[in-house]
Amino acid sequence: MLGKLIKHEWKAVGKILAIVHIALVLMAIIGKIMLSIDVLSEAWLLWRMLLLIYIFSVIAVGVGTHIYLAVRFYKNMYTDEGYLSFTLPVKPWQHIFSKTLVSSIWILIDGVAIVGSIVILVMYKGMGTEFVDVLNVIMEELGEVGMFGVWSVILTVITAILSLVSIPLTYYIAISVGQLFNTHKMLASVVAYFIIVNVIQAIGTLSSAVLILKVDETAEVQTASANILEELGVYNDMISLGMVEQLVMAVAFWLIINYIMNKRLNLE
Amino acid sequence: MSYLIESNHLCKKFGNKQALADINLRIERGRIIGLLGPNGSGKSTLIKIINGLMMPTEGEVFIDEKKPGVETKKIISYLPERTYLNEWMKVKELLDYFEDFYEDFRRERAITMLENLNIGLDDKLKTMSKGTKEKVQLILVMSRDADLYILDEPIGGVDPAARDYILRTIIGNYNENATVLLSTHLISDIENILDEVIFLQYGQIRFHASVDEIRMKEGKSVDQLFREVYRC
Repeated sequence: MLGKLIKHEWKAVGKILAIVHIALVLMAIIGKIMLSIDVLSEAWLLWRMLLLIYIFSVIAVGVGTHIYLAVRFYKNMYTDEGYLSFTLPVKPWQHIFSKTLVSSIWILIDGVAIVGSIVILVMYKGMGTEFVDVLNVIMEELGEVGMFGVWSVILTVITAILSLVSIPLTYYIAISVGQLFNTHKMLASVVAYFIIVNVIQAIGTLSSAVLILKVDETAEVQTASANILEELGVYNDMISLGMVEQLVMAVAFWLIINYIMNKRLNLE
Repeated sequence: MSYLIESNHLCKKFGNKQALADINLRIERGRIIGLLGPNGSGKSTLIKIINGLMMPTEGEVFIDEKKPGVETKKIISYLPERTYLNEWMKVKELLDYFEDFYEDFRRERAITMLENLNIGLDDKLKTMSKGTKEKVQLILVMSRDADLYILDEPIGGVDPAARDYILRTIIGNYNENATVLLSTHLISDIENILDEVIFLQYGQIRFHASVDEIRMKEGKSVDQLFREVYRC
């Protein structure tokens, strides 16, 4: 059943998102071709307008994808469509899982497509090798001060994956909490979202501050915090902290959404 | 013998409003039951609780001796009083969807009914009239070999000819072990197919009897009795 849910979820959201993202990449390719054959060098006003349109498109696609995924969850679970979703012979956690998985994949594709389209636009010959060279130099430098190693890469990747999971779960929990209210459910969801995001940010800032202060104490050096980071190589500590935060967030959100769907469901 | 639906002291409150109060139901297999009552009497609330779409404030309900969950959803075929299908889907895709999730879905039966009502497999819901959408939904729901069909206002929005077809479909499709629970206020239209009626008022069961009993004891049709019970 889980596989079928994932399949249908993928089909339901994929069509529009695929079109939008392919369009974005195509825009960049066409832009690149126009740049390289130099048709617009005279018409600078037109060129600027096109650039502006491109920038707006990137923002629209980036923000739009997230909104689309959140709205899909809301519509499919808590409006009329919920009458079908919640009468399918599946457990609520299977809905959460399938929707989170598909959303995470699309958020990743969205990021890759946006970065990719920008890279296509600014691409020049030899950019790839230059990029690798620069990356190598940075890694070497960081490695020398003991900041960066294989562990750092592994931790960074895990944290990135965890945040891909916790991003859609943040939308889902806000929407689900909104359902607990008798009236103004949408408003309650939006308010819940901003409260959750702010609380998480506050916790994140506070815990990093504590971490830096601790490093500060042990090192007994008084420099700007950014320099402390570099000198003492606390990158791994920082990223580990981020990783734990993302993990706690994802698990807590998951449990709460599951509880609401199991015990507090009230479709109107 | 175990009941198909059994509820004990079922209550539901919305804020201060008591939507259901102390509902104790016993429903057997193989019956066609009308759930009748004016708007706001608690019909839809009761139906939603049986389907697990709403949690009762107090009390509990069992379907085939199980609380609402995956196992009960497998055996209940539910038609809500609203369009619950994704507007962008084609009829064909809906058939795939139902076939994927419900083991008891009979695709051939659905296709025959769709043909009889002149609905194309490639039609999109988006382009259909409200009545046609309702027909599609009813066909999907009646194409399952379920133990319990729960139909909330199944004939409200369709024309009389389709209404006849739908009623014939309901009687023709269900097997003798299955029960059909249907809510409506169009009583005279369905009176002839009912075995039992449940009258709800202010969230309570006002009356639960077999149609024969009503005819024999009261010497009235269900429609007449309804008008008397709910006289304004």
